[in-house]
Amino acid sequence: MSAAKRVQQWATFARTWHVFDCKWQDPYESAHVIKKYLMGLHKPIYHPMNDCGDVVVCINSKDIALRGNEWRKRAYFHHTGYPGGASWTLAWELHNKDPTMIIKKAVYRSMTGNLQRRHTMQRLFIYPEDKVPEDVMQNVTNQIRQIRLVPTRLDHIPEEEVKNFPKIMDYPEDYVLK
Amino acid sequence: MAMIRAGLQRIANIFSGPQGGILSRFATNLVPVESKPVPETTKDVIAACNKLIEQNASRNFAIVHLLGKQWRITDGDLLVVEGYWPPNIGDKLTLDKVLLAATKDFSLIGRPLVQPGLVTVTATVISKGLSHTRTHFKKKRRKQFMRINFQRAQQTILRINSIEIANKVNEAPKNVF
Amino acid sequence: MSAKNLFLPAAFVRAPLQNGVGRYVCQLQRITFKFCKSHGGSRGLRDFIEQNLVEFAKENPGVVVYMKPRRHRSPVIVGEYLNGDRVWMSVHNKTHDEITKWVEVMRTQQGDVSSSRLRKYQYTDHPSIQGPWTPFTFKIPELNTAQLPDPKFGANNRLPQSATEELRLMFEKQKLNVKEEELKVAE
Repeated sequence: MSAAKRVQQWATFARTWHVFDCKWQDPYESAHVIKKYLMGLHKPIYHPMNDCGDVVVCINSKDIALRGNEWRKRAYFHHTGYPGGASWTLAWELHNKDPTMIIKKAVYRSMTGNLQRRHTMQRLFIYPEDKVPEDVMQNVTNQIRQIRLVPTRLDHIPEEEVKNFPKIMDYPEDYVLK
Repeated sequence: MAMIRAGLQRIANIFSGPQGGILSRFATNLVPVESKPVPETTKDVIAACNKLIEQNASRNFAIVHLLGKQWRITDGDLLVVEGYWPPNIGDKLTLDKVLLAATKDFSLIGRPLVQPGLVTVTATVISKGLSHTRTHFKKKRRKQFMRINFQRAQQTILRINSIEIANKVNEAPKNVF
Repeated sequence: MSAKNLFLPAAFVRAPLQNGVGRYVCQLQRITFKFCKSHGGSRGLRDFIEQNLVEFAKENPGVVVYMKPRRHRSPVIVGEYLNGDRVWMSVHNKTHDEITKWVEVMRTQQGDVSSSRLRKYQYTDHPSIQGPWTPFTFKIPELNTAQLPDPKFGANNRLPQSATEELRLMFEKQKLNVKEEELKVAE
Protein backbone atom coordinates (compact mmCIF):
# COMPACT_ATOMS: atom_id res chain seq x y z
CA MET A 1 0.00 0.00 0.00
CA SER A 2 1.30 3.45 -0.79
CA ALA A 3 1.89 5.88 2.05
CA ALA A 4 -1.18 8.00 1.28
CA LYS A 5 -3.44 4.94 1.13
CA ARG A 6 -2.01 3.64 4.36
CA VAL A 7 -2.80 6.92 6.11
CA GLN A 8 -6.32 6.78 4.69
CA GLN A 9 -6.67 3.22 6.02
CA TRP A 10 -5.53 4.32 9.49
CA ALA A 11 -8.00 7.21 9.43
CA THR A 12 -10.98 5.13 8.39
CA PHE A 13 -10.34 2.20 10.73
CA ALA A 14 -9.23 4.28 13.71
CA ARG A 15 -10.56 3.10 17.05
CA THR A 16 -12.28 5.92 18.98
CA TRP A 17 -12.51 6.00 22.76
CA HIS A 18 -15.93 7.13 24.01
CA VAL A 19 -16.95 8.11 27.53
CA PHE A 20 -20.43 7.53 28.93
CA ASP A 21 -21.70 8.96 32.20
CA CYS A 22 -23.98 6.32 33.79
CA LYS A 23 -25.32 8.67 36.45
CA TRP A 24 -29.07 8.05 36.97
CA GLN A 25 -29.31 5.95 33.80
CA ASP A 26 -31.13 2.67 33.29
CA PRO A 27 -28.38 0.08 32.71
CA TYR A 28 -30.40 -1.95 30.21
CA GLU A 29 -31.32 1.03 28.03
CA SER A 30 -27.74 2.31 28.17
CA ALA A 31 -26.42 -1.16 27.37
CA HIS A 32 -28.37 -1.07 24.13
CA VAL A 33 -26.57 2.10 23.08
CA ILE A 34 -23.16 1.10 24.47
CA LYS A 35 -23.15 -2.26 22.66
CA LYS A 36 -23.62 -0.45 19.34
CA TYR A 37 -20.41 1.51 19.88
CA LEU A 38 -18.54 -1.54 21.19
CA MET A 39 -19.41 -3.67 18.19
CA GLY A 40 -18.86 -0.87 15.66
CA LEU A 41 -22.47 -0.86 14.45
CA HIS A 42 -22.46 2.95 14.40
CA LYS A 43 -19.87 2.95 11.61
CA PRO A 44 -20.65 2.61 7.88
CA ILE A 45 -17.60 0.33 7.57
CA TYR A 46 -19.07 -2.25 9.93
CA HIS A 47 -18.60 -5.93 9.19
CA PRO A 48 -18.62 -8.71 11.78
CA MET A 49 -15.25 -9.95 10.60
CA ASN A 50 -13.77 -6.46 10.52
CA ASP A 51 -12.74 -5.76 14.18
CA CYS A 52 -14.07 -2.21 13.92
CA GLY A 53 -15.39 -1.81 17.47
CA ASP A 54 -14.63 1.21 19.62
CA VAL A 55 -13.67 1.47 23.29
CA VAL A 56 -16.27 2.75 25.76
CA VAL A 57 -15.36 4.06 29.22
CA CYS A 58 -18.32 4.12 31.65
CA ILE A 59 -18.03 6.39 34.66
CA ASN A 60 -20.23 6.88 37.74
CA SER A 61 -21.52 3.33 37.51
CA LYS A 62 -22.35 3.33 41.23
CA ASP A 63 -25.03 5.99 40.55
CA ILE A 64 -26.98 3.76 38.24
CA ALA A 65 -30.81 3.78 38.48
CA LEU A 66 -32.86 0.61 38.05
CA ARG A 67 -36.56 0.84 37.42
CA GLY A 68 -39.37 0.25 39.88
CA ASN A 69 -38.82 -2.60 42.31
CA GLU A 70 -35.81 -4.00 40.54
CA TRP A 71 -33.28 -3.11 43.21
CA ARG A 72 -35.17 -5.33 45.61
CA LYS A 73 -36.50 -7.98 43.26
CA ARG A 74 -34.03 -8.53 40.38
CA ALA A 75 -31.74 -11.48 41.06
CA TYR A 76 -28.56 -12.46 39.23
CA PHE A 77 -27.82 -16.13 38.92
CA HIS A 78 -24.34 -17.63 39.25
CA HIS A 79 -23.21 -21.26 39.29
CA THR A 80 -19.66 -22.13 40.27
CA GLY A 81 -19.75 -25.41 38.34
CA TYR A 82 -19.52 -27.53 41.44
CA PRO A 83 -22.56 -29.36 42.86
CA GLY A 84 -24.57 -27.12 45.15
CA GLY A 85 -22.86 -24.08 43.67
CA ALA A 86 -25.96 -22.24 42.46
CA SER A 87 -26.56 -18.82 43.96
CA TRP A 88 -29.08 -16.07 43.34
CA THR A 89 -27.83 -12.58 44.25
CA LEU A 90 -30.23 -9.64 44.50
CA ALA A 91 -29.36 -6.44 42.61
CA TRP A 92 -28.68 -4.37 45.72
CA GLU A 93 -26.42 -7.06 47.19
CA LEU A 94 -24.48 -7.32 43.93
CA HIS A 95 -24.15 -3.55 43.69
CA ASN A 96 -22.80 -3.33 47.22
CA LYS A 97 -20.21 -6.02 46.50
CA ASP A 98 -19.07 -4.60 43.14
CA PRO A 99 -20.68 -1.43 41.72
CA THR A 100 -19.50 -2.16 38.17
CA MET A 101 -21.10 -5.59 37.82
CA ILE A 102 -24.68 -4.58 36.99
CA ILE A 103 -23.84 -2.54 33.94
CA LYS A 104 -21.25 -5.10 32.85
CA LYS A 105 -23.83 -7.87 32.94
CA ALA A 106 -26.36 -5.66 31.19
CA VAL A 107 -23.99 -4.97 28.28
CA TYR A 108 -22.95 -8.65 28.10
CA ARG A 109 -26.59 -9.71 27.91
CA SER A 110 -27.49 -7.17 25.24
CA MET A 111 -24.98 -8.64 22.78
CA THR A 112 -25.58 -11.79 20.68
CA GLY A 113 -24.11 -14.87 22.29
CA ASN A 114 -21.37 -15.53 19.76
CA LEU A 115 -17.66 -16.10 20.11
CA GLN A 116 -16.88 -12.42 19.54
CA ARG A 117 -18.78 -11.37 22.64
CA ARG A 118 -15.97 -11.91 25.17
CA HIS A 119 -13.48 -10.15 22.93
CA THR A 120 -15.82 -7.16 22.51
CA MET A 121 -16.42 -6.99 26.28
CA GLN A 122 -12.72 -6.50 26.79
CA ARG A 123 -13.09 -3.12 25.09
CA LEU A 124 -15.47 -1.90 27.82
CA PHE A 125 -14.04 -0.11 30.88
CA ILE A 126 -16.29 0.61 33.86
CA TYR A 127 -15.40 2.83 36.79
CA PRO A 128 -17.69 3.28 39.80
CA GLU A 129 -16.91 6.99 40.23
CA ASP A 130 -15.48 9.96 38.33
CA LYS A 131 -11.94 8.86 39.07
CA VAL A 132 -10.46 7.37 35.89
CA PRO A 133 -6.75 6.61 35.35
CA GLU A 134 -4.87 9.31 33.42
CA ASP A 135 -3.80 7.17 30.51
CA VAL A 136 -7.38 6.00 29.88
CA MET A 137 -8.85 9.48 30.08
CA GLN A 138 -6.24 10.89 27.72
CA ASN A 139 -7.42 8.60 24.93
CA VAL A 140 -11.07 9.61 25.21
CA THR A 141 -12.25 11.80 22.32
CA ASN A 142 -16.02 11.52 22.25
CA GLN A 143 -18.91 11.45 24.66
CA ILE A 144 -22.04 9.34 24.22
CA ARG A 145 -25.25 11.18 25.09
CA GLN A 146 -27.25 9.96 28.05
CA ILE A 147 -30.64 8.43 27.37
CA ARG A 148 -32.56 9.48 30.44
CA LEU A 149 -32.83 13.04 31.54
CA VAL A 150 -30.98 13.82 34.74
CA PRO A 151 -33.26 16.41 36.37
CA THR A 152 -31.59 19.26 38.23
CA ARG A 153 -32.09 19.03 41.95
CA LEU A 154 -34.31 21.76 43.34
CA ASP A 155 -31.56 22.96 45.64
CA HIS A 156 -29.09 23.05 42.70
CA ILE A 157 -31.10 25.63 40.73
CA PRO A 158 -29.40 29.09 40.83
CA GLU A 159 -31.11 31.67 43.06
CA GLU A 160 -31.78 34.30 40.36
CA GLU A 161 -33.77 31.81 38.30
CA VAL A 162 -35.87 30.92 41.31
CA LYS A 163 -36.56 34.61 42.01
CA ASN A 164 -37.35 35.48 38.37
CA PHE A 165 -39.61 32.47 37.76
CA PRO A 166 -43.19 33.71 37.05
CA LYS A 167 -45.44 33.09 40.01
CA ILE A 168 -49.16 32.52 39.66
CA MET A 169 -49.87 33.02 43.35
CA ASP A 170 -47.94 33.48 46.57
CA TYR A 171 -48.83 32.80 50.17
CA PRO A 172 -49.58 35.91 52.25
CA GLU A 173 -46.76 36.87 54.63
CA ASP A 174 -48.44 35.85 57.83
CA TYR A 175 -49.60 32.47 56.48
CA VAL A 176 -48.38 29.53 58.51
CA LEU A 177 -47.48 26.38 56.54
CA LYS A 178 -48.26 23.22 58.42
CA MET B 1 -43.97 61.02 -13.57
CA ALA B 2 -47.34 59.74 -14.68
CA MET B 3 -45.83 58.45 -17.92
CA ILE B 4 -43.11 56.57 -16.05
CA ARG B 5 -45.73 55.03 -13.82
CA ALA B 6 -47.85 54.03 -16.79
CA GLY B 7 -44.80 52.47 -18.45
CA LEU B 8 -43.93 50.49 -15.32
CA GLN B 9 -47.56 49.41 -15.06
CA ARG B 10 -47.52 48.16 -18.63
CA ILE B 11 -44.34 46.19 -17.98
CA ALA B 12 -45.93 44.70 -14.89
CA ASN B 13 -49.05 43.80 -16.86
CA ILE B 14 -47.25 41.81 -19.53
CA PHE B 15 -47.74 38.60 -17.58
CA SER B 16 -50.81 39.32 -15.52
CA GLY B 17 -52.89 42.07 -17.20
CA PRO B 18 -56.70 42.29 -17.12
CA GLN B 19 -57.61 40.56 -20.37
CA GLY B 20 -54.33 38.79 -20.55
CA GLY B 21 -51.22 40.75 -21.39
CA ILE B 22 -49.04 39.75 -24.35
CA LEU B 23 -47.19 37.00 -22.49
CA SER B 24 -49.97 36.03 -20.07
CA ARG B 25 -50.15 32.54 -21.52
CA PHE B 26 -46.74 31.83 -19.93
CA ALA B 27 -47.96 32.65 -16.42
CA THR B 28 -49.85 30.00 -14.53
CA ASN B 29 -51.89 29.93 -11.36
CA LEU B 30 -49.68 27.17 -10.05
CA VAL B 31 -46.88 29.38 -8.80
CA PRO B 32 -43.58 27.51 -9.00
CA VAL B 33 -41.47 27.38 -5.83
CA GLU B 34 -38.74 29.57 -7.41
CA SER B 35 -40.90 32.70 -7.53
CA LYS B 36 -41.38 32.81 -3.73
CA PRO B 37 -38.95 35.09 -1.87
CA VAL B 38 -36.04 33.03 -0.47
CA PRO B 39 -34.13 34.07 2.63
CA GLU B 40 -30.53 35.29 2.38
CA THR B 41 -28.60 32.15 3.33
CA THR B 42 -30.47 30.03 0.81
CA LYS B 43 -29.58 32.53 -1.89
CA ASP B 44 -25.93 32.41 -0.94
CA VAL B 45 -25.85 28.64 -0.97
CA ILE B 46 -27.56 28.46 -4.33
CA ALA B 47 -25.19 31.04 -5.80
CA ALA B 48 -22.20 29.09 -4.51
CA CYS B 49 -23.58 25.85 -5.99
CA ASN B 50 -24.17 27.47 -9.36
CA LYS B 51 -20.61 28.79 -9.42
CA LEU B 52 -19.28 25.32 -8.67
CA ILE B 53 -21.48 23.81 -11.39
CA GLU B 54 -19.96 26.25 -13.89
CA GLN B 55 -16.42 25.40 -12.86
CA ASN B 56 -17.09 21.66 -13.10
CA ALA B 57 -13.99 20.81 -11.10
CA SER B 58 -14.51 17.24 -9.91
CA ARG B 59 -16.19 13.96 -10.70
CA ASN B 60 -19.94 13.68 -10.15
CA PHE B 61 -21.80 10.77 -8.70
CA ALA B 62 -25.52 10.14 -8.55
CA ILE B 63 -27.97 7.79 -6.92
CA VAL B 64 -30.33 6.50 -9.55
CA HIS B 65 -33.48 4.40 -9.25
CA LEU B 66 -33.48 1.62 -11.84
CA LEU B 67 -35.57 -1.56 -11.98
CA GLY B 68 -36.81 -1.14 -8.43
CA LYS B 69 -33.35 -0.79 -6.94
CA GLN B 70 -31.19 2.23 -6.16
CA TRP B 71 -27.63 2.34 -7.45
CA ARG B 72 -24.77 4.71 -6.64
CA ILE B 73 -23.04 5.41 -9.92
CA THR B 74 -20.30 7.58 -11.31
CA ASP B 75 -18.75 8.02 -14.78
CA GLY B 76 -17.27 4.90 -16.25
CA ASP B 77 -18.60 2.26 -13.96
CA LEU B 78 -20.39 -1.01 -14.72
CA LEU B 79 -23.81 -2.06 -13.49
CA VAL B 80 -25.39 -5.53 -13.76
CA VAL B 81 -29.17 -5.53 -13.84
CA GLU B 82 -31.22 -8.73 -13.50
CA GLY B 83 -34.49 -9.71 -15.07
CA TYR B 84 -36.21 -9.21 -18.39
CA TRP B 85 -35.23 -5.78 -19.78
CA PRO B 86 -35.90 -4.82 -23.42
CA PRO B 87 -32.95 -2.51 -24.31
CA ASN B 88 -30.56 -4.21 -26.74
CA ILE B 89 -26.75 -4.14 -26.93
CA GLY B 90 -25.25 -0.85 -28.07
CA ASP B 91 -28.35 1.18 -27.09
CA LYS B 92 -27.72 4.50 -25.41
CA LEU B 93 -30.03 5.27 -22.50
CA THR B 94 -30.64 8.17 -20.14
CA LEU B 95 -31.47 7.24 -16.57
CA ASP B 96 -34.04 9.78 -15.43
CA LYS B 97 -34.97 8.90 -11.87
CA VAL B 98 -32.12 10.64 -10.07
CA LEU B 99 -32.54 10.79 -6.31
CA LEU B 100 -29.30 12.49 -5.41
CA ALA B 101 -26.50 14.08 -7.39
CA ALA B 102 -23.26 15.23 -5.85
CA THR B 103 -19.72 16.36 -6.48
CA LYS B 104 -16.79 16.69 -4.16
CA ASP B 105 -18.02 20.06 -2.87
CA PHE B 106 -21.82 19.95 -2.78
CA SER B 107 -24.76 17.54 -3.03
CA LEU B 108 -28.21 18.01 -4.49
CA ILE B 109 -30.75 15.92 -2.64
CA GLY B 110 -34.05 15.34 -4.36
CA ARG B 111 -37.41 14.98 -2.62
CA PRO B 112 -37.68 12.26 -3.76
CA LEU B 113 -36.37 13.08 -7.23
CA VAL B 114 -34.13 15.89 -8.33
CA GLN B 115 -35.68 18.43 -10.77
CA PRO B 116 -36.13 16.64 -14.16
CA GLY B 117 -33.76 18.58 -16.41
CA LEU B 118 -31.04 19.19 -13.87
CA VAL B 119 -28.95 16.02 -14.00
CA THR B 120 -28.27 13.98 -17.17
CA VAL B 121 -27.12 10.39 -16.70
CA THR B 122 -26.22 8.51 -19.90
CA ALA B 123 -25.49 4.81 -20.14
CA THR B 124 -24.79 2.18 -22.83
CA VAL B 125 -25.92 -1.43 -22.78
CA ILE B 126 -22.84 -3.60 -23.18
CA SER B 127 -23.98 -7.16 -22.89
CA LYS B 128 -27.08 -9.23 -22.32
CA GLY B 129 -26.54 -12.77 -21.18
CA LEU B 130 -27.64 -15.37 -18.70
CA SER B 131 -26.34 -15.69 -15.16
CA HIS B 132 -24.63 -18.79 -13.81
CA THR B 133 -26.97 -21.68 -12.98
CA ARG B 134 -28.50 -21.25 -9.56
CA THR B 135 -29.88 -24.34 -7.86
CA HIS B 136 -32.90 -23.98 -5.65
CA PHE B 137 -32.98 -27.12 -3.55
CA LYS B 138 -35.97 -28.06 -1.42
CA LYS B 139 -36.15 -30.95 0.95
CA LYS B 140 -38.50 -32.06 3.68
CA ARG B 141 -36.78 -34.64 5.78
CA ARG B 142 -38.35 -38.03 6.34
CA LYS B 143 -41.22 -37.12 3.99
CA GLN B 144 -39.76 -38.31 0.67
CA PHE B 145 -39.92 -34.77 -0.71
CA MET B 146 -36.97 -33.47 -2.68
CA ARG B 147 -36.99 -30.96 -5.54
CA ILE B 148 -34.16 -29.29 -7.44
CA ASN B 149 -34.91 -26.20 -9.51
CA PHE B 150 -32.25 -24.87 -11.91
CA GLN B 151 -32.62 -21.22 -12.77
CA ARG B 152 -30.67 -18.83 -14.98
CA ALA B 153 -31.64 -15.15 -14.87
CA GLN B 154 -31.21 -12.67 -17.71
CA GLN B 155 -28.51 -10.19 -16.83
CA THR B 156 -27.81 -6.89 -18.62
CA ILE B 157 -24.52 -5.09 -18.16
CA LEU B 158 -24.64 -1.30 -18.42
CA ARG B 159 -21.69 1.05 -18.72
CA ILE B 160 -22.39 4.52 -17.27
CA ASN B 161 -20.98 7.02 -19.75
CA SER B 162 -21.45 10.35 -18.04
CA ILE B 163 -23.19 12.16 -15.22
CA GLU B 164 -23.58 15.86 -15.92
CA ILE B 165 -25.20 18.52 -13.81
CA ALA B 166 -26.35 20.43 -16.83
CA ASN B 167 -28.33 23.39 -15.53
CA LYS B 168 -28.04 25.73 -12.63
CA VAL B 169 -29.94 25.12 -9.44
CA ASN B 170 -33.22 27.01 -8.97
CA GLU B 171 -33.30 28.31 -12.54
CA ALA B 172 -35.64 27.19 -15.29
CA PRO B 173 -34.15 24.18 -17.06
CA LYS B 174 -32.95 24.60 -20.65
CA ASN B 175 -34.12 21.13 -21.71
CA VAL B 176 -37.71 20.92 -20.51
CA PHE B 177 -39.60 17.65 -21.01
CA MET C 1 -19.66 -17.15 4.42
CA SER C 2 -17.58 -17.67 1.23
CA ALA C 3 -19.00 -20.00 -1.38
CA LYS C 4 -16.05 -21.80 -2.89
CA ASN C 5 -16.57 -24.00 -5.89
CA LEU C 6 -13.77 -25.30 -8.08
CA PHE C 7 -15.99 -25.39 -11.14
CA LEU C 8 -17.81 -22.09 -10.62
CA PRO C 9 -15.17 -19.49 -9.77
CA ALA C 10 -16.19 -16.18 -8.26
CA ALA C 11 -15.45 -13.12 -10.37
CA PHE C 12 -16.12 -9.40 -10.36
CA VAL C 13 -17.95 -7.62 -13.17
CA ARG C 14 -15.54 -6.70 -15.90
CA ALA C 15 -15.80 -5.39 -19.45
CA PRO C 16 -12.92 -6.02 -21.83
CA LEU C 17 -10.96 -2.97 -22.95
CA GLN C 18 -13.28 -0.23 -21.59
CA ASN C 19 -16.06 -1.30 -23.95
CA GLY C 20 -18.85 1.27 -24.00
CA VAL C 21 -16.84 4.20 -22.67
CA GLY C 22 -15.92 5.49 -26.12
CA ARG C 23 -17.61 3.33 -28.71
CA TYR C 24 -19.32 0.00 -28.31
CA VAL C 25 -18.03 -3.09 -30.13
CA CYS C 26 -19.97 -6.34 -30.43
CA GLN C 27 -18.01 -8.94 -28.51
CA LEU C 28 -18.84 -12.00 -30.55
CA GLN C 29 -15.98 -12.81 -32.93
CA ARG C 30 -17.12 -15.93 -34.75
CA ILE C 31 -19.88 -18.53 -34.68
CA THR C 32 -19.53 -22.01 -36.01
CA PHE C 33 -22.59 -24.12 -36.84
CA LYS C 34 -21.90 -27.84 -37.02
CA PHE C 35 -24.81 -29.92 -38.24
CA CYS C 36 -25.78 -33.07 -40.12
CA LYS C 37 -27.54 -32.66 -43.44
CA SER C 38 -29.91 -35.56 -42.97
CA HIS C 39 -30.20 -36.59 -39.30
CA GLY C 40 -33.37 -35.60 -37.40
CA GLY C 41 -31.66 -33.97 -34.46
CA SER C 42 -30.30 -31.19 -36.66
CA ARG C 43 -33.69 -30.29 -38.07
CA GLY C 44 -34.06 -27.15 -35.99
CA LEU C 45 -30.58 -25.97 -36.88
CA ARG C 46 -31.11 -26.70 -40.56
CA ASP C 47 -34.31 -24.62 -40.49
CA PHE C 48 -32.47 -21.79 -38.77
CA ILE C 49 -29.69 -21.89 -41.37
CA GLU C 50 -32.13 -21.91 -44.24
CA GLN C 51 -34.32 -19.08 -42.93
CA ASN C 52 -32.46 -16.80 -40.53
CA LEU C 53 -28.76 -17.20 -41.06
CA VAL C 54 -28.25 -14.83 -43.99
CA GLU C 55 -30.14 -12.03 -42.20
CA PHE C 56 -28.07 -12.65 -39.09
CA ALA C 57 -24.83 -12.41 -41.04
CA LYS C 58 -25.96 -9.21 -42.75
CA GLU C 59 -27.06 -7.54 -39.52
CA ASN C 60 -23.81 -8.41 -37.73
CA PRO C 61 -21.01 -7.60 -40.14
CA GLY C 62 -18.43 -7.90 -37.35
CA VAL C 63 -19.22 -11.57 -36.70
CA VAL C 64 -17.69 -14.30 -38.88
CA VAL C 65 -20.07 -17.21 -39.53
CA TYR C 66 -18.74 -20.65 -40.29
CA MET C 67 -20.74 -23.71 -41.21
CA LYS C 68 -19.51 -27.26 -40.84
CA PRO C 69 -21.82 -29.90 -42.28
CA ARG C 70 -20.62 -33.18 -40.78
CA ARG C 71 -22.37 -36.48 -41.32
CA HIS C 72 -23.54 -38.54 -38.33
CA ARG C 73 -22.64 -35.84 -35.78
CA SER C 74 -25.04 -34.02 -33.43
CA PRO C 75 -25.61 -30.33 -34.05
CA VAL C 76 -23.51 -27.86 -32.11
CA ILE C 77 -23.04 -24.10 -32.00
CA VAL C 78 -19.64 -22.76 -30.92
CA GLY C 79 -19.20 -19.05 -30.22
CA GLU C 80 -15.80 -17.40 -29.82
CA TYR C 81 -15.45 -13.99 -28.21
CA LEU C 82 -12.95 -11.16 -28.35
CA ASN C 83 -11.68 -11.87 -24.83
CA GLY C 84 -10.81 -15.44 -25.81
CA ASP C 85 -13.80 -17.29 -24.31
CA ARG C 86 -15.16 -20.24 -26.24
CA VAL C 87 -18.76 -21.25 -25.65
CA TRP C 88 -19.79 -24.70 -26.88
CA MET C 89 -23.48 -25.50 -26.95
CA SER C 90 -25.28 -28.58 -28.17
CA VAL C 91 -28.53 -27.89 -30.05
CA HIS C 92 -29.47 -31.51 -30.59
CA ASN C 93 -33.26 -31.87 -30.88
CA LYS C 94 -33.85 -28.17 -30.26
CA THR C 95 -36.57 -26.39 -32.21
CA HIS C 96 -36.00 -23.57 -34.65
CA ASP C 97 -37.39 -20.94 -32.23
CA GLU C 98 -35.21 -22.10 -29.37
CA ILE C 99 -32.12 -22.00 -31.56
CA THR C 100 -32.95 -18.44 -32.69
CA LYS C 101 -33.13 -17.37 -29.04
CA TRP C 102 -29.87 -19.10 -28.11
CA VAL C 103 -28.08 -17.52 -31.05
CA GLU C 104 -29.38 -14.13 -29.92
CA VAL C 105 -28.03 -14.82 -26.41
CA MET C 106 -24.65 -15.70 -27.88
CA ARG C 107 -24.63 -12.54 -29.93
CA THR C 108 -25.40 -10.21 -27.02
CA GLN C 109 -23.09 -11.82 -24.42
CA GLN C 110 -19.61 -10.44 -23.87
CA GLY C 111 -17.98 -13.79 -23.23
CA ASP C 112 -18.82 -16.85 -21.20
CA VAL C 113 -20.77 -14.90 -18.56
CA SER C 114 -22.43 -17.96 -17.01
CA SER C 115 -19.20 -19.73 -16.20
CA SER C 116 -18.40 -17.51 -13.21
CA ARG C 117 -20.42 -16.31 -10.26
CA LEU C 118 -20.56 -12.52 -10.03
CA ARG C 119 -19.54 -11.40 -6.56
CA LYS C 120 -20.99 -7.92 -6.86
CA TYR C 121 -23.33 -6.36 -9.35
CA GLN C 122 -21.35 -3.14 -9.63
CA TYR C 123 -17.85 -2.11 -10.52
CA THR C 124 -16.25 1.33 -10.02
CA ASP C 125 -12.78 2.65 -10.32
CA HIS C 126 -13.69 5.53 -7.99
CA PRO C 127 -15.54 4.18 -4.94
CA SER C 128 -15.28 7.47 -3.07
CA ILE C 129 -15.63 11.00 -4.42
CA GLN C 130 -16.28 13.09 -1.34
CA GLY C 131 -13.57 11.20 0.54
CA PRO C 132 -13.89 7.93 2.48
CA TRP C 133 -15.58 8.02 5.86
CA THR C 134 -13.43 8.64 8.89
CA PRO C 135 -14.66 8.78 12.50
CA PHE C 136 -14.21 12.58 12.32
CA THR C 137 -16.33 13.20 9.21
CA PHE C 138 -19.56 14.14 10.96
CA LYS C 139 -18.24 15.11 14.39
CA ILE C 140 -18.63 18.60 15.93
CA PRO C 141 -15.30 20.47 15.83
CA GLU C 142 -15.79 21.69 19.43
CA LEU C 143 -15.04 18.17 20.60
CA ASN C 144 -11.38 18.77 19.78
CA THR C 145 -10.88 21.27 22.59
CA ALA C 146 -13.55 20.03 24.98
CA GLN C 147 -12.71 18.69 28.40
CA LEU C 148 -14.61 15.40 28.56
CA PRO C 149 -16.91 14.38 30.24
CA ASP C 150 -18.80 17.58 29.54
CA PRO C 151 -22.57 17.90 30.10
CA LYS C 152 -22.76 19.95 26.88
CA PHE C 153 -22.00 16.78 24.91
CA GLY C 154 -23.24 14.23 27.39
CA ALA C 155 -26.62 15.42 28.66
CA ASN C 156 -29.76 14.29 26.91
CA ASN C 157 -31.14 17.01 24.66
CA ARG C 158 -33.87 15.26 22.76
CA LEU C 159 -36.78 15.42 25.13
CA PRO C 160 -40.16 16.80 24.05
CA GLN C 161 -41.19 20.12 25.53
CA SER C 162 -42.78 19.83 28.94
CA ALA C 163 -46.03 21.60 29.87
CA THR C 164 -44.21 23.88 32.31
CA GLU C 165 -41.85 25.01 29.61
CA GLU C 166 -44.73 25.72 27.22
CA LEU C 167 -46.52 27.81 29.83
CA ARG C 168 -43.35 29.75 30.50
CA LEU C 169 -42.82 30.44 26.79
CA MET C 170 -46.43 31.57 26.41
CA PHE C 171 -45.93 33.98 29.31
CA GLU C 172 -42.70 35.33 27.81
CA LYS C 173 -44.23 35.82 24.38
CA GLN C 174 -47.16 37.89 25.61
CA LYS C 175 -44.77 40.33 27.25
CA LEU C 176 -44.57 43.54 25.24
CA ASN C 177 -40.83 44.14 25.32
CA VAL C 178 -39.62 40.72 24.25
CA LYS C 179 -38.80 39.55 20.69
CA GLU C 180 -39.25 35.94 19.57
CA GLU C 181 -35.56 35.21 18.85
CA GLU C 182 -34.51 36.21 22.37
CA LEU C 183 -36.62 33.52 24.02
CA LYS C 184 -34.38 30.84 25.46
CA VAL C 185 -35.79 27.34 25.68
CA ALA C 186 -34.62 25.46 28.77
CA GLU C 187 -33.55 21.77 28.97
